[in-house]
Amino acid sequence: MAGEFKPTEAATSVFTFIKAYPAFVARFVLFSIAATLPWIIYFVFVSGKIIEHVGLDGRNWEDIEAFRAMLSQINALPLLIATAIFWFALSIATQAMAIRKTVLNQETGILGLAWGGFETRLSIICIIFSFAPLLIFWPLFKTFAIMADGTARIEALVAPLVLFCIAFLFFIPFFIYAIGRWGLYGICALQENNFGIKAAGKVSKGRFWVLFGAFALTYLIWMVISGIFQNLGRVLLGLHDVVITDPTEFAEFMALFTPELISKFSVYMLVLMIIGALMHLAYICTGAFAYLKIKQAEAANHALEETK
Amino acid sequence: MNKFSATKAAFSIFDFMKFNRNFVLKYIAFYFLFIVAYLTAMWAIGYFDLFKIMMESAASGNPEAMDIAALNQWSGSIVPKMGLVMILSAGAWVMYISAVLRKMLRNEEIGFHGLSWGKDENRMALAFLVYFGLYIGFYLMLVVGMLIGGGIAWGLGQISPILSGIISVLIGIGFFCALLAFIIRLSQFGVLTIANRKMGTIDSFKETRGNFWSFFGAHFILSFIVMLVMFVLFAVGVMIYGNNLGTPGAENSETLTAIMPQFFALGLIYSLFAGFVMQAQICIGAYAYKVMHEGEELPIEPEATPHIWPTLGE
Repeated sequence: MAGEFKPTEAATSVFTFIKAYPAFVARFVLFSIAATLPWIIYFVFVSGKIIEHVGLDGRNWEDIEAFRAMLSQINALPLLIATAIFWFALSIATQAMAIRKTVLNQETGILGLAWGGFETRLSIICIIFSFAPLLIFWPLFKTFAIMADGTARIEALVAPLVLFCIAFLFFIPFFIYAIGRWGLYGICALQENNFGIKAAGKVSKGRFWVLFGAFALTYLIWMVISGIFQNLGRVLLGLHDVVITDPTEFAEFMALFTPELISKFSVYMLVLMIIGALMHLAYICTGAFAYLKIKQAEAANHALEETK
Repeated sequence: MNKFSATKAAFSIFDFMKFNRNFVLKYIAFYFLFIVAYLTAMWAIGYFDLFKIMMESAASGNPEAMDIAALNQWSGSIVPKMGLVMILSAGAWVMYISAVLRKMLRNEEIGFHGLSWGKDENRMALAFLVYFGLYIGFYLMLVVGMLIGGGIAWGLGQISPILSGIISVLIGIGFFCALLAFIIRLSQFGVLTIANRKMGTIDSFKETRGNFWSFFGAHFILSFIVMLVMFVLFAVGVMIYGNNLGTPGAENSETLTAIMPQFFALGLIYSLFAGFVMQAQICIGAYAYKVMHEGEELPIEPEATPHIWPTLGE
């Protein structure tokens, strides 16, 4: 099993992929940004309304009924649900498109976007993985909240610390285990025509640390790239010199957002979203590269055994 | 693998210097230039304005009440620029360490007087990233361990304060020893990356197994001597510039601006010495590798295999 693939090669394989399929990568980035945009519009719109209603100093916060009426008037909840569904569906379809391309070099549907059994399975797995930690941590959080009980007792001080320790002791090892053991779930779901969890566990057997290392290195590389672009963007666009005063009126607050600042900030956010999309693609490439190399090595071993 | 002497490794830079005097001097100069460029960049982006803010707040007669607005303005402006300077410095450091190791291990000087950016540097940058990731992970683990140990010590403190004190001291020592052991075990990653032509962060654990005390001894001896020399240099610095620091009104920002060039001059003298120390530290690893792998051929650059994607599905 040793030497099937190098974590460094897997972690940097996205750069070869970008060179090999630039048009596909551009489309992937575009779809990823398209999936996120409604969130930005939603937050700008709804948070603007909330700030306007509550006041910057929170003076109208007490009037919960009026606040609820305002939220219902702007259709905050239906908008939230619609935005979340759009974002989730497009993100899953984009992820499936990238997995299909990296593993099979196939593009199906409209510009690579499709919705079928694979996408449905992928969504179910993503929902499970996203909510599993909550199921564990919500009861814990509630317990500590009850212990703390809003008083200044020692528990109130210790509770967050204990929660952090428990999170660290249970969640981080679980997270590491999930990455190393089931990191290839999406690829296996495509190849095996099922949820892919069992198959991913089988593929990663004996390769746990190599796979984890490859994903961890991908993360580190993209942290550096993201850091470079964040800092460069802030310096080049002059965002680091923006002076935030302490406004008290909504109009004064809105006046801070000059057209120049908004345009600069939009460019900055766009660059960050592109980097974020490429980072997502990098994880998919890392997994696909590792999977293909493992399968290549297995096929070679199988052929060797047959000739014997 | 052969064993090596910690003392010989600590002083191996002098053996290297016998045959490569020009190289060592050149790389002391490069290090000096690197420090000058770094300090200039930090000066240009306004990093040292912090001292002005501190001095002005001290001179205002209410040192606790730092000018928060000025501090916020300073940090908001400095952070992204400093991030870029740090990333550029890390790149320069990767080039520097790769060039020195290439010379020490393979006697190769490629690019501009040995400085270049190629496959070695790519691997070294990745090796540094992995090192950084492992270090952060290990450090966090130690911190959590300390928190748990602290909790136990606090609990024991209810029964016996002496026992709690002893356990607290033991936890502190354990933290320090574990971190030191981790750093020593990973110390060969740069050497292995250049010597084996592949990223060697994880391999460093295997390489240092059974030789921990030799590596520890070599770094300890060198660090001890460096500390002594630094004390002497510091004493000389205080003798020359000390009077300025003691004058009344030194807390005022004009005085600070006046004595700043002297601090810089002293810093640059230190950096010349530090350039030599850096090479001496790198030389410990290179010497250890040479002794441990005596008689073995250094691996050549592996041939590039065709990548998976351009041919996938064809």
